[in-house]
Amino acid sequence: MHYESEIREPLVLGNKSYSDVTRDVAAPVEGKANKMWWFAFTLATIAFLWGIGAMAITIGEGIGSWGLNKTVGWAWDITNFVWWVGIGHAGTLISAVLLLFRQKWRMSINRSAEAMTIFAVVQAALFPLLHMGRPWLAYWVFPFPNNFGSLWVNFNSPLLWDVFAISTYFSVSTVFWYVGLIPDFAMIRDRAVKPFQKHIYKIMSFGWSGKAKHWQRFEEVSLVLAGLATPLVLSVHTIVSMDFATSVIPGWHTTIFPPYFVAGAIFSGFAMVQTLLIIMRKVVNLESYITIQHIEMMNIVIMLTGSIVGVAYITELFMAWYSGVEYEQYAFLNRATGPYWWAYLSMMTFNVVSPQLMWFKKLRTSIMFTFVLSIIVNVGMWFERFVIIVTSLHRDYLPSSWSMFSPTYVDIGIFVGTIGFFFVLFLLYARTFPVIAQAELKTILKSSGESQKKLHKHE
Amino acid sequence: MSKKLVHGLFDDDDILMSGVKAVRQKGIDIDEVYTPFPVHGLDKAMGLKPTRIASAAFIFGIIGFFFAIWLTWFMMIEDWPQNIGGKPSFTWLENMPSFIPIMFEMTIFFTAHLMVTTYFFKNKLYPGSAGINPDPRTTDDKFLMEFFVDGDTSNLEAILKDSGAIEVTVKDIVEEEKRNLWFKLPPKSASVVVILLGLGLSSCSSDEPMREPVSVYMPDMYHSVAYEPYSEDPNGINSMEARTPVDGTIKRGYVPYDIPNTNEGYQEALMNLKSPIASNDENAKYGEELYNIYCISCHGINGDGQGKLVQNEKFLGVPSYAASRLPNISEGSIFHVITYGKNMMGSHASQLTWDERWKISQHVLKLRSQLK
Amino acid sequence: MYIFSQKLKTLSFVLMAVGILSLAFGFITTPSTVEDVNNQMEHVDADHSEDSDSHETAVKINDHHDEAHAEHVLTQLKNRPWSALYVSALFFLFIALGTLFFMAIQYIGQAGWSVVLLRVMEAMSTYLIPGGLIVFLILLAGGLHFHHIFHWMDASLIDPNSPNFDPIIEGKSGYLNVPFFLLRAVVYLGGWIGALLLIKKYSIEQENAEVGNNIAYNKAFKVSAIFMVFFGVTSSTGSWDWVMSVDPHWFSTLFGWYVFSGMFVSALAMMVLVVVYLKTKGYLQTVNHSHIHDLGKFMFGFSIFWTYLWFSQFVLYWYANIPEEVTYYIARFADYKVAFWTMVVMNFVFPLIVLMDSGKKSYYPYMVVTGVVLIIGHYMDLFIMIMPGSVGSHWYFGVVEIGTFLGFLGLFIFCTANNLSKRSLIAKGHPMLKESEHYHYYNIEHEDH
Repeated sequence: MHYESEIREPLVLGNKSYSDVTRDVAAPVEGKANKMWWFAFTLATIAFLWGIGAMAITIGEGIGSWGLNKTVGWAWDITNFVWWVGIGHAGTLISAVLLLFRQKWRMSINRSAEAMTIFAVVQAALFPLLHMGRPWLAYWVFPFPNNFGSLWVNFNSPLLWDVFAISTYFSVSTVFWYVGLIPDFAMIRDRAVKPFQKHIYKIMSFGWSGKAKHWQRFEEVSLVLAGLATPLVLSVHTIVSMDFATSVIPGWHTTIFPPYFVAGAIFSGFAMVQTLLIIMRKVVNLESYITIQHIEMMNIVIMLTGSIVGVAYITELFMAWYSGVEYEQYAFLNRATGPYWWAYLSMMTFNVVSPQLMWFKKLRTSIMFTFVLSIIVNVGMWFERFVIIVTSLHRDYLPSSWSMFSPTYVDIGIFVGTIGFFFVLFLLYARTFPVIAQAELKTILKSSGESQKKLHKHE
Repeated sequence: MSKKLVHGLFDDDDILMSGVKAVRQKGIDIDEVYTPFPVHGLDKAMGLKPTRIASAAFIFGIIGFFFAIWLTWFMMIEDWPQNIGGKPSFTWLENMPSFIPIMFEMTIFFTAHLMVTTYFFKNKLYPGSAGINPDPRTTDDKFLMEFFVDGDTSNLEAILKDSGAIEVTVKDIVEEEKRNLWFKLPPKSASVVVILLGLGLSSCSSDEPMREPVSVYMPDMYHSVAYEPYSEDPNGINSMEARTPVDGTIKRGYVPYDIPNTNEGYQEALMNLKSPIASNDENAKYGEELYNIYCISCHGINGDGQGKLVQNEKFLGVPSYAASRLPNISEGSIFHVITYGKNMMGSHASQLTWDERWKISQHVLKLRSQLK
Repeated sequence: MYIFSQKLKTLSFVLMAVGILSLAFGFITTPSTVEDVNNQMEHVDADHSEDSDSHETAVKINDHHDEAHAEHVLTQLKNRPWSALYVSALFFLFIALGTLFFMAIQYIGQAGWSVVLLRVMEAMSTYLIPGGLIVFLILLAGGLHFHHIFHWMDASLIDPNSPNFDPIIEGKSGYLNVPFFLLRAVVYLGGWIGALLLIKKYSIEQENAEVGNNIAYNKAFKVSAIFMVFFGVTSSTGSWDWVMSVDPHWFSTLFGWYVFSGMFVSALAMMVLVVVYLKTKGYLQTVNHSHIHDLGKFMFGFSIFWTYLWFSQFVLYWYANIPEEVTYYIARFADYKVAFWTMVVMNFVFPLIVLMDSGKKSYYPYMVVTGVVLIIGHYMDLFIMIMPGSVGSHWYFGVVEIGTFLGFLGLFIFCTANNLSKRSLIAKGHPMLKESEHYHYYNIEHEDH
């Protein structure tokens, strides 16, 4: 049962027993926050508050406070929306797809990746909400019999598909995350000494006791949820891509969009997981669990998805020429050589060229390099959305209406605010939640722990 | 002899597994095993039945799938069909590709949430429920077998010890200690929940329709600071915000229609206006296609005034084209009505061009000739 | 060791003979002159005059004596045996290529469970060599104007002085021209076959190496990684060249990935059939239900993936409804409606329903039936990709189509079995062999027998 080939590297370093795993995972929750944490938290809160101010201006003054104009009616907000939703793909991918593929290395990172997913989707949802202008009427996007004239929502619209996709994705991811968290909350509950803490974790753990029948159902539920979440992850960014691809705008209307958006989302999501985990493993002493091998694996996924994205860019470029449609050809010529050439160049360099550096083992096992690259990738992926959205719109069919887009301080403020909000949530999570799925990790300790693997060798 | 509670504590999952097998071989049933993580194969070793939660999930999925079909069909086809982007929603099947994303998402939504709800319900997990693992170490690194035994326990104790238990404890069961956990909300929080629920529900029960408009947040969004188009503007010519185009301006492709929207104009169109386009099959077929997009919802496919929206009682009083009902119409008057609207019917001049309106008139006359 | 039984050998030869005979039959019965076509059209006209709105048959059939139209029909009828041959040849080549891709994935993914199946994959993908040669000869025959499956090869289309001049095809002639086209085919096939031979070589080297010496395994890993990059590009360009350019006006950026997903599913389905066949003959003792179960999961998952790509391509063109894009589907709805929807049901609904239950994925009868349905379904998919562009509405599913399919099946069986019999059935010496032999999936419902 516990046999694993000797050539596989151990996934848990050091001489860890079950109880060591418990102690290491519970430590950040039970201990006190250090100065670094407070510093980061303050910084994130300031950014968040700035964002709230910018949001208040948007709601008070109206969308006119943004940099949009008649030609580019959709730019900064939708770029950020797609960017955040994309980032929010890695978590469920790690927990669901890697579970189905039985990748044991997912065990130490899935919890934080899922948390990141949920927080990222929250940021994403803010943008369409704000662009509505009257966010308190947001519930109009849901179908319900109403007294405003009995009109239903339009199920033909990809924007409505998005409402269904994102809300399903958000709620199912949260439930998936929580089902896994319950046994770990129970672990913290059973260790807690302070009555208040014990009470809180008692509520959060839903009274979990670890009965055999419960575990049996737990595993079945996890498996079915993974099976459901896998197509769900694909569907979400597919539908996001259809917001663009169902239109008849050159540069948007192309069939490769659905899978290519999904690949791009995984690409940027993994990069964000790298950024967060490289810091977290250091700050909360989880180097034995989130090892260089985990980082390398994620780098390989980044390299793979980066290459898929690269193939898609080149396919689009080639097909624009091959199609013989002059508008399509111009759209791509304008992307590469028009006034936004710098955005296109950044996208190509950051997303296609830079991940290829991961072919070198030395680089993909270097923590510093990985950290820098993970940020570069996310900058590149932001530019990708900007390129797709703005360069396709700013020069439309009528040259007299050609225009440029530049963001206002409100646009930038909201974006920075969402980054702040994201980190506020993640930092709070890192101090109060078990950041590693310790119950699941314990199941692979015997096959993949360092000292346990050594024992097998001598058998 | 009283009932006794026997606990055997293990510190390794493999030893636990062999212990479970050893105990079961002796013909003793294990009442419960508490483990800190899922031990694969434990359920089979204990003789637990396979869980059927996946089958339940399948059924939930089917419910979600059909719910989405019903949702899209009812809202887009049955209750209020609309013509959106040139894709009229008159049959569900023709529009189905648009509904597949909704069907997919609803299937997943129902399956996942109902399955997890079932999981919580079956495991009796809910916020506030206390953990009932007898030993807090079983969420850390210990594994515990639990037995309720009538009578002598020494035999069991020996088996447990032999199979590697690190601790074996025996306790008498006092009645209270039987952990009966089924739904035990403290009365205080229960009453709070009931009151909140009551308050929440009370907002739904209003016999009278709201007379006052609801309060408006941020009225700037409704009442623009800038002058609204077509509103009064003290600085504008004739105090109008919108400027009138130069006299005689005609937009491209537009054919002017001089007869005014008055009763006299109607009479004029009825008597004298003749169709300038040829009456042939091609035009009639095109007119029929347009009719089936723009007119069918109210006037019905046969022109009998029994369109979907009339049947659903969204609009009433749509007449049939039949001579018995509308004795006095001509192609000119039909064109006039499509252009300006009449009674409940609105103008269609913005959706349909001049020649399209003539083609529809041709089709309407054809329908009229077929009606009694 | 596997022994290639005489019975199977005879069967494969019989199938190949059937293929050759039916192909000969197809060529003999093809009309060779315009008069023959006119005679035939007297009968056919009644059935086909209604569904003539596809772009290939846009010419009205009202006038029987229209010379130009009769010639057009003649071209399509002459294409028919060639197209049947081409679809089958390409389909089996794709099976071998999909298998090679799967094998490379096993290496670069460091998959442990599948090691006991590696030799089967090696044997199946060896069909790339004869299969690639045949496909290349068919492409070459097109370049020499023996057939007109590839309409754009007609030189008059890019001649501005010709009445047939087509500016769109002329715009693509930098890519779609015969020498470059054939050169690309050589490069693709050369690259794939090269990777195949290297992986097979290292597999044998690893078998003979000492325990703990994994140099050959590491080399196979590297070759697989390089192959993946090569395949990532050539699987797309290959399907543009060989499949999409049959409709030279039409384009879709997703097309390469769509063809790839179909090829991958058919390769998995074929692998299931081969593995189950060997198991029932008493070979592959170390392959247990968990391995079959995993193949079933792949088959299930990638059938859904295929549907996802199929739907993505379809819905975007359906929704935007741009004439030059939607014509592709209109041609298919006009003349291939039943086959088109049957194919979708076979490739999506059938595996979805049959394989959804976890327990079914390791029962041989379910797996074999699904495998067969998927193979036929994906053959039909390829058929519907090629035929509307090459024979238009003049398609049949008759002797030539079935015959050539069986012929290539015979060749595939011969090639695979012959290869299996030459080497040991298990890749001994592979560093993860023990892990694969011990592989047991905990959730499996029934015990191994």
